[in-house]
Amino acid sequence: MTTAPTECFPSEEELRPRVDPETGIDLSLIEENLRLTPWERLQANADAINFIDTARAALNKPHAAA
Amino acid sequence: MQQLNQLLVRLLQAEVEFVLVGELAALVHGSSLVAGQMDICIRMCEENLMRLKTALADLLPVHRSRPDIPFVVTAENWARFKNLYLKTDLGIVDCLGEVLGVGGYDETLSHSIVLNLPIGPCRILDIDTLIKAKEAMGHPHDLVTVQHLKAVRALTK
Repeated sequence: MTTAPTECFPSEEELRPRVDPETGIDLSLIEENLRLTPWERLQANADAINFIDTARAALNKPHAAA
Repeated sequence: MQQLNQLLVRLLQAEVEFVLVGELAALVHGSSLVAGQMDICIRMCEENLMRLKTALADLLPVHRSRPDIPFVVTAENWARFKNLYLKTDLGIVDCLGEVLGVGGYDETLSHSIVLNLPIGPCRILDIDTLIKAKEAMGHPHDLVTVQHLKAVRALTK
């Protein structure tokens, strides 16, 4: 595995998503949403809800044997 | 399985008069909060409630706090409904006769904009009025949405 030289690699602060200092809201998530069309936002929400439902259902199932 | 976008298709196809409000409207405006249900402000008249009934007919709609009671609207009972809190096979839809901080259907409609979705035009509360409505509700989760909407507004100015 290769890694970038330390001096070229951005600092953790530079890599951190932009956050509103007052509210703590991750503005990069909102910017990402704003790049989508309204219909794409609705579809992404449906996908998220379905993922949550699937994950919750999995939580309620007994763990599979190793 | 929740499919709020398919629920929206049903409402538009049945020509229900409504304005999208609440968390789903916030999400459409750009909020990054997940919306688990649909809130709409609808014209509470017999004709429109009959359209709603048609839209939801095969989705087993029930009153969500009393799932043993199916959503049935008739010429005799429609006038008793001020708000409807429904659960369907495609997800939850709360149908409000008025929006706190805004007013009834006509007032809400006058503060709406048209979204041209691939499934057809859909009315949604404008962002400034949605902020006002959420502030009027004032619950902690509403105020979180207000913060998101204000961030969206600042980023899109």
